[in-house]
This record gives sequence, C-alpha cells and structure tokens, in this order.
Amino acid sequence: MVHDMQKQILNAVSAGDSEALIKLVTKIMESGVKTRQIAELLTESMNEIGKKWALLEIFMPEVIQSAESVKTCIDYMVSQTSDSIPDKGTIVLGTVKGDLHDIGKNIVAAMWTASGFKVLDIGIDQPSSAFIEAAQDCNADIIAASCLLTTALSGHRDIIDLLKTKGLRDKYKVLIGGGAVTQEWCDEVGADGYAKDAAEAVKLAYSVIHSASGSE
Amino acid sequence: MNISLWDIMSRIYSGKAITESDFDTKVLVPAINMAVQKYDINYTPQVIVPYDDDLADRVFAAALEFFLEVGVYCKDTSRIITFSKEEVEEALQHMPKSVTFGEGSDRREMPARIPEDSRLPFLWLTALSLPVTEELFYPIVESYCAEPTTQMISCPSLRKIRGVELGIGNPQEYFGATRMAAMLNDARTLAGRPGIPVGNAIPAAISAAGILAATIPRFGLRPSDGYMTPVISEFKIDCDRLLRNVYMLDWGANNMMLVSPIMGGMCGGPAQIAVATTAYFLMGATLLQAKAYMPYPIHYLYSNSTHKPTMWATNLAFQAITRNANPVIASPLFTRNGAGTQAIIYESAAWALGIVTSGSNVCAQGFAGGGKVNLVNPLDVRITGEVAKSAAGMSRKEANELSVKLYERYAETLNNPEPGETFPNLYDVERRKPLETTYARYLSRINELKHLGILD
Repeated sequence: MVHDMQKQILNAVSAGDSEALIKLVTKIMESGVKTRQIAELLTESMNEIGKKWALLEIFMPEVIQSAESVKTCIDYMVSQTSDSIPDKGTIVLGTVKGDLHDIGKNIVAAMWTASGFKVLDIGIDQPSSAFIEAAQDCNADIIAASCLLTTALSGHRDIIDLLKTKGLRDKYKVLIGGGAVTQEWCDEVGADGYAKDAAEAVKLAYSVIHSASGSE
Repeated sequence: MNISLWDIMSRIYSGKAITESDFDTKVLVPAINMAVQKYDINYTPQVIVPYDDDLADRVFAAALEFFLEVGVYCKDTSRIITFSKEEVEEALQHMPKSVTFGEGSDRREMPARIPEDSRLPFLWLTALSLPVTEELFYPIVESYCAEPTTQMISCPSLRKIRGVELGIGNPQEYFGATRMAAMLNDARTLAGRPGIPVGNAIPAAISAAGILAATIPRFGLRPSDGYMTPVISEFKIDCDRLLRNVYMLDWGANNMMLVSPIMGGMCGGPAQIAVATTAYFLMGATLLQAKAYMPYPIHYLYSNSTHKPTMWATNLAFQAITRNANPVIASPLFTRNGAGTQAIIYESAAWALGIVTSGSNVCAQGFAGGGKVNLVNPLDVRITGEVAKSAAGMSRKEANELSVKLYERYAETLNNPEPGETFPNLYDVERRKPLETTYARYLSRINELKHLGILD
C-alpha cells in the first residue's frame, strides 16, 4: 500500500500537476494516512526528481514545476489539518549586492526545495539588510548568499557584520557559495559553511541544521 | 548594415511587456522544445564530435526559428526585444570574417573558421579570470606572456589591491578597474610583449562605469584588446550590459559576446543546448553587433565544459553556425580537474579536438572547481595549444574517435576531480619559469599524447 502510494505520488510530482497532486493527496488523507507520512513521501519524490536531474534525464523547468506542485500541495495540507508537518528547515537565499547572476542561485534553490527545505528566494543584487529582514520575517534557519564576482564578495562580510551589529549572529547559520567563493574566504569572513556546488549545498544545509538542533 | 543600432536599442522600451517568470516558462521553454522536436534533433550519447552535416543544418534552422520566436528579454524594462528574419539574415551577412587583436609584433588575426578548417586556430592560452593573490599577479601574467604560442592573455581576478577590497558600482570599482588595467599593462610590458592583447579587459570592471574607467587611455588598455559583453543565461540582457556594449562599438573596440548556456538548466538537455547555443550567435549578431563570440555551454552543477553531452552540444552548435554564417568564435574551456593534474590534460585535449574541428578558435583555460586561489599552470595550456594546432585540418570523425578515447580516461574524475596545485608549487616564481619537475611532467604528457596519436 505504501509502495503504491509512493508510486502514485512520484508520478503526480513528476508531472508537476498541482491540481492532480492535491486530488490524490486528498484521497490519501481521507483514507486515514497521516499528513506527516504524506509529507515524507512528497519529500522522497522530490529526492527522486533531484536524482533524475543529476543524470540529465530531466531539466530545470521540470524540476521547478515539480517543486512548485509539492509546495502548493503542502500549503493545501497545512490548511486542511491540525497535524504537524515535518519541517526540514527554512532558508533565505539571494545573490549579494552588486552581483546580478541568478542561475547558480536558482539551481541551488531548486535543489534545496527538491530536498524538502522551504526556500525564500529574495533575488539578485540584494543588500545585506534584505537578507536579514527576510530571515526575520520567515523565521529562517539559514541565510544563504551567492556570489559569482570576486569584486562583490564583500557582500558576504556585510551580512555577517550586520547580523553581529543587530545581535543576531547566533540566530542564523550563514552559508555562502558561488563562483568567486573559496573556503579561505568562508573562514576569513566567519561564515558557517561554504559549498562549491549545488549538490554540496544540500549536504551542507542538512549538516548545519542538524548540528544546530543536535539531531543526527 | 541597414539595421540601426539605435533603432534596436529603442526596442528595450517598445517590445512586448512580460514578467521574467512568464518569459522563462511560457515563451522560452515551449519554443526551444518545439524547435528541437520539429527539426528532429536528438542527442547521440556515444558521440562527442558530431560529423553529420544535415544534423548541423537542422540545428541552424531550429535556432533561427527559435530566436525569431523568442527574442531577448530585457530585465530592466521587462520587455522582449525581437528581430525580423530579414534583420537576422542581414546581421549574419555582416559578421566580420576576422578580428584583429594586439599591437606591433603581437598583432594577430582571429579568423572565422569552418568545420575541418586546415587553418590554425587562434590560440588564446591563459588563466581565464581565475582568482589569484596580489603578490602572484605579476609572476602569473608574465609567465603566460612567456608562453611562446600564446597570442592573447587574460587578466586574472583579484579581490584586493593595495589593501582595498574591490567592489561594484562604488568608488572601489573605479579603483579596481583602473589599477588592474595598469597592472596588466605593466605586466605585459615587463614580460617583453607590450603589444600582446588581453582578451578579458578587465575582471574588476563589472559595470559599464567600471569599463569606462578602465579604458581611460593612461591606464594602458587599447581598442585592440578584447572586451566581453556578458549575456544573462538564458536569452536575457540588461541596460548596463547594453550600455557597455554600445560604448565598445562607439570606441571601435573588439567587443565579444560572452555567454554560458546551462546544460540541464532552463533550456534543457543536449539537443536544446545545441539549438540555444546556435541561437546565441544570432542574438550577438543582431543585438550586440559582436565582432567575436565566446559561447561556452556548461554543466548546471559543476560549471565545466567537459562532460560528454556538453561537448556534443557545443561542437554541434559550432558546426551549425559556421556552416551557415561566418562568426569568429573563441570558445572558453572550463575543466573539472585543476592545474598540473593528469586529468586536466585529457579534458583539455578532448575538448580542443572537438571545438577546433567544429570551427572555433581556442580560449583555454579556466578551472571550474573553485575553492582555492592561484591554481594555474601555463604549461597545461601549452599542451592544449599543441593539441589545438594538431587538430587543424583533422576530420571531425577522427577528432571524435580521439575525443572518445580521451573521455574514457577522465570520465571517472568528473565526479571526484583533483583540485591540482598552486602556481608556487609548479613554477619558480621569481624567475617565472616552470620547476624541473613541472617541465618533466609536461614532457611526459606530450609523449603520452603522441603515443595516443593526438600529437605528431
């Protein structure tokens, strides 16, 4: 039964059809399955989508469509039940001030979403204050800042300095990435982690959230 | 040309208004998929260098239809800039057949090549905008200038100069752009090649204001250097980039379109990337009136040029455009493995055989691994240059066979690349000469490529 349910959910997520997914999930909820279990199956389905993407069997438009259908479905489930739905963590993501590159950021956003994180993408060319305001608004666990240009790197330091000034440094984990970023830079500015590509970014987000919560 | 540049620029305000998200999902994605389907373009996983002229011509037809349908999205005005078929055809007819770079004894022509062209490719052998530390800037640039076959260099990236952290859109950008230009000019003079062109003038000049500053004559850059107008993937532009480009055109400088279609990204997979890469030439000819083209499809996760589907799409696109127009192409290489490794040689050689026999010149090389600074080795690019020269006049079929052999040698490393070594571990920094061990390794790699039938 669980296997069939998983298969049906994977098919609906792969199709990226929010309406069909909500219909299917409604039916499953009516049969008495807990929303927590359904949410886990949705996350597993997105993991499968991520694996297919890595093999270039599907591409970014399909991944985005699938991720959006899952997001819509989870919002629907939340509105229909008082059960708690597992939350992997919330990430505020953007590209630092002066840098207009968004492809890498978009790919990381899709990978994180595909892995079950809630992602708030604040866009490109963002000042440090925008990252922090967004993190406060959505009660984020992680602030993630992308930077492709060597000359825009100081944006990372600005975010960390502003967090310190506001007394919020310990409240958020700060992850950095993008073509211009190195581990040395991460160490220099005192960020909590650096990922050299989107695949590593997923592992890093898990790792910092789990280490913060003390879970395995 | 009959198309007025200023008429085209006016379209950023008069084109159809649409949100960026709708442009991506409702315009771009359906059009690229339809073009691929209509012209029956299919990826062949066992091939790296396609040699099917009919397929190449279908890719060109698909790209033309796609570009006429989609146009270019201006992010600042949220409008689509479109072109008529007549305008595209006229722009293609006016592509320059060669571009002159450099001055004096280092003045060279970069040619518009064709598939299986027997003419030698232009060799831009360099460290492509790679991050270096300030104390190694001069030794690294001078060492690349000292490479006997290199015809153009790049300026590496710096984060700080004289303790000033460089910026964008602020006084620090002015400082970085002007001082980096001066340092670059000093370095090429100190190396004894004052006329050698720099092709990426200049990494610290990100905005149009930065490039206007960097090209103030007293800092030493010249119109005969190379200036990139970077396009936003996929099929997007903004006003600052257009401003930078019209300045280059008005100055009579060598403006080059830089674009990285993303394999696995918004356009899709190999077939779609082949069509999109070809269509980018049409964008460059019409919107930017580019003199030369620097397209480099890259993998969505790793930002490198050397996965098999990426090379297939790149080579096919270059054949498609060079069989139907005459663009001057200098495709940049980004490897997964780093400086001084065995695998970087295989990656670079497989890539060079494909692009040279498909109609491109050579711009090598950058390292897509990230994570460290000063990961450069001028002897690596010397080998890439030797392979590129031996590929001139080679058939695409032979290039494919050799590339496939090389790919087998590095395929495993793509998932677990070696970062390589830093410049001070490979070179005598003071004398700007390779260490004996580095040179011995170079000779053994040349011998291996001879043994594989790639070099004579």
